[in-house]
Amino acid sequence: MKKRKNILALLMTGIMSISIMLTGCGNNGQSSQDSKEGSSSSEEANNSADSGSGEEDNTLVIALQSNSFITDYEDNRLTDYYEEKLGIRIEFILLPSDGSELQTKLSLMTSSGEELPDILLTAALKSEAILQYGQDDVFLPVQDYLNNADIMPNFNAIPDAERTEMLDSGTMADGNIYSFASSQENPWNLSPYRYYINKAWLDRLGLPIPTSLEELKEVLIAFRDKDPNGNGIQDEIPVYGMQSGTYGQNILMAFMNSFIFCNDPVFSLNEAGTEVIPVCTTESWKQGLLWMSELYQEGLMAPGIFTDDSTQFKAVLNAEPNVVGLVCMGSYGNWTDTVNNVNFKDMEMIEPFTGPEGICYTPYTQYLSDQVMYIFKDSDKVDMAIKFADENYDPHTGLIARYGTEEEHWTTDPAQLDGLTNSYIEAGLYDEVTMALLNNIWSVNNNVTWHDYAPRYISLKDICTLADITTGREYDRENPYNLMADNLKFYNDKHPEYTLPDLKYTVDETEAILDAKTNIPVYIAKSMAEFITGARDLETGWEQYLNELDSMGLQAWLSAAQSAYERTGQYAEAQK
Amino acid sequence: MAAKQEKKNHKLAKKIRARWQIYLLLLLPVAYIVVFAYVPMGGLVLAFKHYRVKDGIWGSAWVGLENFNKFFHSYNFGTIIKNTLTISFYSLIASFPIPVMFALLLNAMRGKRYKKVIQTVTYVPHFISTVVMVGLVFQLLDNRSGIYGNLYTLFTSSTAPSLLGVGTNFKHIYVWSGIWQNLGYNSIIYIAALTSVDQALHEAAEIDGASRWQRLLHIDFPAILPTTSIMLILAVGRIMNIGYEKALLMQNNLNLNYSEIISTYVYKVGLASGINDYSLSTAVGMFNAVINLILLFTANWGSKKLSGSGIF
Amino acid sequence: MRKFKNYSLNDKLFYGITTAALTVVFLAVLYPCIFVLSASFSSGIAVQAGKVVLWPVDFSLEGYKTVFRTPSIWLGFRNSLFYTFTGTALSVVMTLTAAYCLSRRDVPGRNIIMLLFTFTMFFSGGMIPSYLLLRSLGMLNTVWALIVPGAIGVYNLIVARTFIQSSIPEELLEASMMDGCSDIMYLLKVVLPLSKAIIAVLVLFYGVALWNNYFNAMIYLTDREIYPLSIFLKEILLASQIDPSTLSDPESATLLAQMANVIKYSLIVVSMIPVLLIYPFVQKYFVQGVMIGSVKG
Repeated sequence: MKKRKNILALLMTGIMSISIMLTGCGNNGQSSQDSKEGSSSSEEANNSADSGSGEEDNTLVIALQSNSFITDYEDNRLTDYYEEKLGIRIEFILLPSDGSELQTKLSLMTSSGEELPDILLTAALKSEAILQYGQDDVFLPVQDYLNNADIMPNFNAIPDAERTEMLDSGTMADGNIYSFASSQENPWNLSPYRYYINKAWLDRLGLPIPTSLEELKEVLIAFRDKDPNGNGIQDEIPVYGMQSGTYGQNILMAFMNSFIFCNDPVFSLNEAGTEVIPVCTTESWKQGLLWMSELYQEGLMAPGIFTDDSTQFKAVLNAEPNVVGLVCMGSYGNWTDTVNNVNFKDMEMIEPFTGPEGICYTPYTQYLSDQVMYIFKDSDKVDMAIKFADENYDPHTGLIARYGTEEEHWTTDPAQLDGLTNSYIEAGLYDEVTMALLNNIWSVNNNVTWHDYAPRYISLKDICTLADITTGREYDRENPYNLMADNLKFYNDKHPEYTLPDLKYTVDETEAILDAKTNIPVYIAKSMAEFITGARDLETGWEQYLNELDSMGLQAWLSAAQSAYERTGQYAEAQK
Repeated sequence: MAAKQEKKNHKLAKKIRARWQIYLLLLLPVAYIVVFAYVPMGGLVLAFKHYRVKDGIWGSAWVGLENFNKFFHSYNFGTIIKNTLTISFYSLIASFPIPVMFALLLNAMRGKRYKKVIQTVTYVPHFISTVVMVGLVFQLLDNRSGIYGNLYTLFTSSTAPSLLGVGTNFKHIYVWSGIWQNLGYNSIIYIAALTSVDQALHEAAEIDGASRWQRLLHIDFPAILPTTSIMLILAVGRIMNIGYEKALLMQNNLNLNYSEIISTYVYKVGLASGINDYSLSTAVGMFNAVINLILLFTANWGSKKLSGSGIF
Repeated sequence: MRKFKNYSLNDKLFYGITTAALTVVFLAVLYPCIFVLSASFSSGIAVQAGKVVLWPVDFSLEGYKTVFRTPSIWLGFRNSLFYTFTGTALSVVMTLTAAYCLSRRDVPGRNIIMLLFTFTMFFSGGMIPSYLLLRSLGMLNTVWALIVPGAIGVYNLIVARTFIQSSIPEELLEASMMDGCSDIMYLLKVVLPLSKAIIAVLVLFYGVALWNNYFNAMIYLTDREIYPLSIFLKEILLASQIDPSTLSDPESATLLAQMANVIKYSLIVVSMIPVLLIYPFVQKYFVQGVMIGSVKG
């Protein structure tokens, strides 16, 4: 009997919850249809309430890309710093740390018509998305604020050249700027395709460092045949790399630059800097493929280049004994625990090779500042948001936001800087250290910063005159962290005068070239692999390759790229 | 005639009234499915619209079948469909029967403790993330440092040819690594179904001199047949649902002709456009769903013909 | 159980082959488990360099220390346990009720209702309308957002219905009806006790799904206080998967990745503990004969 009562009670609650759900459902049927109106009217109500309460409401709602190293955003030194300095109160909406998830969440927030925060801080949006949101009235155009020195004094104090770059990189195809930029130029990242050759092997075989592709080939043959690692097995990999790598590991691109300059496999510029050319269809490209396929046929190039992922890449680099002869990458961190890595000790960073036509370039990307902050158009605190943005361009605030607390994490105190040096200074490129990092907060749990998701300007000089003593080690020539200056000398100027800048397409252009943009880069990479490994014959397959590219819409993309390029400042300059 | 019809209706009404408790119990689940599945289903119209954030789902412009056309006319559409179907049918044929056999054999095995250990351990890899699992597969199949490479070198004393660089190997590696990872987890349902086997039948058969193998075939297997056929119907109805994650992780430039499938392609379109194209993904989802639904009905019809059990 | 030597040659052969075959499978599947465990106890440098093959290299607790030093881990654990328990309870009750009703062959219209359910396996409105729905129900950013939307998995429903249909004899229903048992009483008195195995399966399937639920939490929640463990784990893991090309400072990203690779395997082990702990309890109900015995008794 007792059981039966329980059942009845259960059923009752069940039925009640159904009726609640059903009414909820009924409401929803309508509300999804007119949710736009509903929410906008409620927003109006909010707005009037806000204006009614006058200046009391000083809350700035920030949607922020989160980072797992930051343990607390509310109880956070940087939050406190902003709140105190600007006299505001910050409220957070934390967004996923993964860029694509952040975009998903952002699109849900914006399409559901719910009340949006005031500003968004993230580096995850590509220019196509920024433009789309701008044109959909989600983001506010901010160029008028940026160009007004009274409203944004700190931003306008940035030196002209850098400020112009920041404005240019934020200007979308419709001529508007919807974002605030973060500029932290670092020459190390502009030319990441750095070659490392096995110097220990060269010494053992009595060979000099090769400077041309011709000399290189001889060296590679010796690497292959003469058992330079001395273990009696022919396990040496003369050339290694990772085609799928995104930070300088794709050695095919590095080699290709001994034939023709390209930092992107699809497009490049002509010498005069006036015309976009499809570099993947040029005769030089073909010659490059031919040279690499010969290398492959002779067993000088590892098949792993085409199949390995970053885990395998690292495993091969760190194998015992060392099996790699020549490799290319942006980060020496691929040799784990670099300072103590025995394999890394064998390697030496060298200059790019000169090709048969005397060409000696390296893939070089023009510096492009990140777009990191947006104001939502519906925000009623635009002035406060602008003030917040400009505060971040204050040099001192910038250091606090990026590096942490002064004297605890970094210092500019001359007494402490005395005797410190770095790679650039040793190389005679700069005079003296201006700042030292004392304690690392970049990769440890902390509640000191927001992990650098904010507008920022740190000059090239500031970055090049920084002494990093967080590891407790002072500058020493043997330390691999000090390759920075060599990079500057070996790589940074190995490119033609004009290189293709980041192209901003209009919404219509983006839609028209979407198929081409999806398929062509994939097809080029695939064809490179096939031509080099001999899966497809270069002589007989080249024509078909060109036709295939055309049928994928290369020409349409080319003309869109040309018109996008003609909208850039660089084009105007080249025209002169 | 009319009277007869009325009588029939009356009978039906009586039947329904007799089962009022069942309908009462069903009320909550049905309400749930209506609210949480049918109400949002209106979103399917996105497949026929050009979605813009500004205009919302209802306000966005109608484009008819444009999204479908875009998909059907995408570059290499034929190859993508072919690869998708190849992998999914291969996967169905290979990975459907194995958990069934595994469950039957495990059930028949002697040694209670060992049996439990095997069951528990085979269940574990299901929870290892795809990234780690794929990394492990690559490591094992590496032609220089992997177990495959070492064994090859041991027997032939030469460097092994690369397995990962050969496009036709993709489907084998994809399917068998999936079996490796999910065998145990997928067999749980059969192991549970085997609990309904009447022990008395086994005892009787044993007295009649039936071997364990015969009992497996004639007692155990028929007992789980209804579950098996339903699982098969459900698996057939999921043919088009191959996720992008694993395939994407296993893709390289030498196997792309065999590894590009619908989901990875849609993912790449999204990447290239820089913004989520909900209209296209809804259209592709709808295309897959229609095929799946047709396959499910076919399988259900076939199963009913053959074994009498089906979903409807 | 009989002694092995008393079996016929035929059976001996059968048992021998079965044991051998299952042992092969067992070893093959054991390998990834050991690998993950070993990697989680190795130093990050050894893992990155691909030096871990079977046993830990440079034994280290670095990974676990980092995981447990992250303050949000415990919060996530607590929340995930809550979601898993309440969600599983709700789902199992709902699913089993529906499965029982739809297993009754004497209910007019059951195929139509079944079709109504099955259809939703194929067509769903997608993310945006679901988000709008939860918003209008006021469930956004509440614990309900993770528990309610997945309450009935149609796949599980079909599995459960099939199980009930095929393993509980129709005669039982007739006999009970004769005794004047109502439909609800039949469910409670007869079907439930006989469905222990399928309940165990449902608990497992729903429990595992809820424990690993990531996507719904990601899109429906913004309050860190109610995040499940999976979100926190993903955040930690993410650092190792940042695509350096999307950052202006790839060098620091690479350094981060090294850190994160160290803890990747420890995270898997940590998140797997509860699903491993629950398994023996579930397994208890997978013993043959449990069910018929209870019918007779």
